[in-house]
Amino acid sequence: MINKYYLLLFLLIWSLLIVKGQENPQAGVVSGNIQAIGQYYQEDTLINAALPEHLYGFNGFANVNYQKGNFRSGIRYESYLNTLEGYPTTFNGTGLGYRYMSWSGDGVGVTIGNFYDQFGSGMIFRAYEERQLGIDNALDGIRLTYEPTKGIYLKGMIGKQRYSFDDKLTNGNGIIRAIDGELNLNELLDSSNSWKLKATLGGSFVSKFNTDNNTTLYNMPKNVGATCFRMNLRYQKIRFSGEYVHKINDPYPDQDKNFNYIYKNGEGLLLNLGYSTKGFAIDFSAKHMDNMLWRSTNVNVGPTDLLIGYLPALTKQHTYNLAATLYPYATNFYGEIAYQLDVLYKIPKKTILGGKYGTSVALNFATAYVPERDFVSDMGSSRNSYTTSLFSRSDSILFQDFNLEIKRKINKKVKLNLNYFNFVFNDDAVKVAGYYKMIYTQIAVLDLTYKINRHHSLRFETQAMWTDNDKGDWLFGQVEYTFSPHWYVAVLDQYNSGNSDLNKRIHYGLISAGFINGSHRFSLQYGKQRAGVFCVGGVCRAVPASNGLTFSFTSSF
Amino acid sequence: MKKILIPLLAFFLFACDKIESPVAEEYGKFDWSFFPGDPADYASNYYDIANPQNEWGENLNEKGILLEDYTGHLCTNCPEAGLIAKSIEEDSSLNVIVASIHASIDGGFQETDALFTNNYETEAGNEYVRGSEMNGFLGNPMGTINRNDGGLSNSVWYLKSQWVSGVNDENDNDSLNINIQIKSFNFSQTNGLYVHTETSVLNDLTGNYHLILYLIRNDVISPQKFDQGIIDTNYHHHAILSDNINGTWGTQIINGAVLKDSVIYNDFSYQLPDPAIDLSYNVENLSIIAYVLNRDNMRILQVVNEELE
Repeated sequence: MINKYYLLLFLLIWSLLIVKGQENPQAGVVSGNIQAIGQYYQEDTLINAALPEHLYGFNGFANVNYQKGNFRSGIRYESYLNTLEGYPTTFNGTGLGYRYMSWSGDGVGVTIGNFYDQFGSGMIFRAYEERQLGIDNALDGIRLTYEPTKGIYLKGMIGKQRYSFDDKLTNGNGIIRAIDGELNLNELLDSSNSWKLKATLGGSFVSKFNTDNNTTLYNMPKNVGATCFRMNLRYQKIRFSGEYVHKINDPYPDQDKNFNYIYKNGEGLLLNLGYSTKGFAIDFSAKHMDNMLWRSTNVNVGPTDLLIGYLPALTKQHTYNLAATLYPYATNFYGEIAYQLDVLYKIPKKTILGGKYGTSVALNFATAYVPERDFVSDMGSSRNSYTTSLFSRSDSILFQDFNLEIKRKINKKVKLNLNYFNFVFNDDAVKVAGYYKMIYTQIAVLDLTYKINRHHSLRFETQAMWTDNDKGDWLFGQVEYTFSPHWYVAVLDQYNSGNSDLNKRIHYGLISAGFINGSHRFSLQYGKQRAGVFCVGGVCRAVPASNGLTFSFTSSF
Repeated sequence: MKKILIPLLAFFLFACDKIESPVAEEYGKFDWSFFPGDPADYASNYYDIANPQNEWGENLNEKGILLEDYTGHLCTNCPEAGLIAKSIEEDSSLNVIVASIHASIDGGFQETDALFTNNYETEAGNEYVRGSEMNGFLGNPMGTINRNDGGLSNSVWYLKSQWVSGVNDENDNDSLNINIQIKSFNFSQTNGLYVHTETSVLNDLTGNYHLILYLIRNDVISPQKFDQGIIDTNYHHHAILSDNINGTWGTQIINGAVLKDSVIYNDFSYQLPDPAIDLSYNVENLSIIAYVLNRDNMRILQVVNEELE
């Protein structure tokens, strides 16, 4: 009941501010955006398409913000009526899902209500929203920032995490307390900006309190803390960053007995070294991550629920359909040793290899292994379960991705984009594809854009996947016609050409069209969508097969 | 600056609970090193200590009588007492459970030598005959019958000639105020033994009640002295008390008033002697006797036993 009064008070104040802002533009600025996606589901037993009894799913939200000077406030209204298939069912109903007020001045900033934030790479703390995945772990509480002098940035916050939405925002029970400090040595000590070395140092401490897990078998820690140190260095064209995070005993129930209620400390080390100059860049990253599942509750929840920390993925985020949705990398919460190398080179124009306009070559290699673990028999006592050493990996590969991208403008009308992907995917460990064995696959992509004239262009995209594993080979083709600035239409087909079950060699045809007018975009699509996995940054969501009509609308003001 | 630093330091110091003993006390009093695997598996595969109420069915055990035969392998009158005890036990209508306790006040009849190599004394057995709580022990062979006070001079001690009548008298008193069930699991890899008991209170009680577990070797072949210096080197010693699993006076389960229908669960871990060293500790030769004792008057309210498998 008290919460309702607070909400009403908030809305009243907020409405007055909006009205005031609209009456007099000098009084403030109102901005916002909206996104709405609706899908009408049809029966399609051939692809085992999702067919909910409500037949129509809808996800929508709108942000409305008000700003005047150093004061900001905003709300997000959300509707899931009913939730789109594959989206977390913890998103349901319609109502306010986000509200905040903030103000700043004299080096001090205050936010009350919901907010997103991140310390360093996010390993120790990341409150963020990834709407496509159904992730929203916004903090609901108070955040203070303070800049005592230029170059010193302090931050402190306390709050609860968003857990679910059921006609209203529902927070988890756990409380998060977090502080972060960052020193920009150049701003602090080099007022003349003469140093060639640019250096930033940072440190964080995050603690959670929860009593959700009432197991009588184990002494559960109610307060669990994690500490993080990070640095960013840049010397002319070379840059280096390093971040280390350490978390004390934080046991969770787990089906794997080696990880069930283990009290081992967690740790993560993320290193990155890069060099870039005109036309060339190389970047190497290494990651050691062990036992860094870090939630604000110690009971079983959905895989993306109530995560305090984010485990960064050392892989390239692919966008081409077959590469992105069949065997995408998913972060292993138990731990992994991962490396990534990125090389970008632009072959100069007017050379034999570079052609008239130059050619961009991007090479990426990423690999992740299970850490070497020496298991110890201590489950009846200290329950550390195993020991590990930094960057000591086992022979058990989780994922490997080699990919090459060549972009070339052939002439004024034709642009070519060639891609090659080679994946090694351990589905027994990653458990994304449902095959639960090793998958070896190669993918080739040809993406050709033909500019007919200033307003009309055609894009042809063809993809092929070869594999002897899982569902076998796939083919993909798409033709997209754009008549700018307003319209586009596209037809695509995916075909599971190599499925060992001849009855499952199915065409997934889809037609789509859209209208774009400034910041407004409206699109329609109709057809079959195959089951797959959608991942962003190593966090994944399974998407069921479906058949039907989908519309979407996005706009901002 | 101090105003900032002190609260900050406090935040760092108190915002973490470092757990030195992850396994909860109730669960952790078990020695899990005897279990070949993760203790969490024990709950799913054997017995869920955290939810014992789901582990037991209806208790159909009838009232039992514990006949303790205090004996010695050099005691020439003891074999006859042993025969009496065994014959009483074999009368299933009496529901008697025998425990042969090798003990005497001064260690007489218990000595070992080149022929009598085994010392069957136990710390608990010696305490029972030597301590102040069960006064009146004269010498081997003597016995107790549910440790009631119907023995010599209203003590708990019965001469062997009184055992039959004593048991019959005890059997006539069929009131049962407490009942017991036992479950046990043993693991040959570690010789580990886990014992779980359910004690049901059948009538309102007040007092100091203990649950005591005996480890019994059912049959041990070793020398026994008879009259006229005869020694039977292949004598079958029956139901030898080999150790008290939970100590001389066991585990206090009630102290004060307890209401009818109360249920008490207890769990015990124990490492059995290695049968590779002493064959008589082969699990097929072992059983557990569990009884509830009123320590205020030494009376045993109920006794049950379970063969190990």
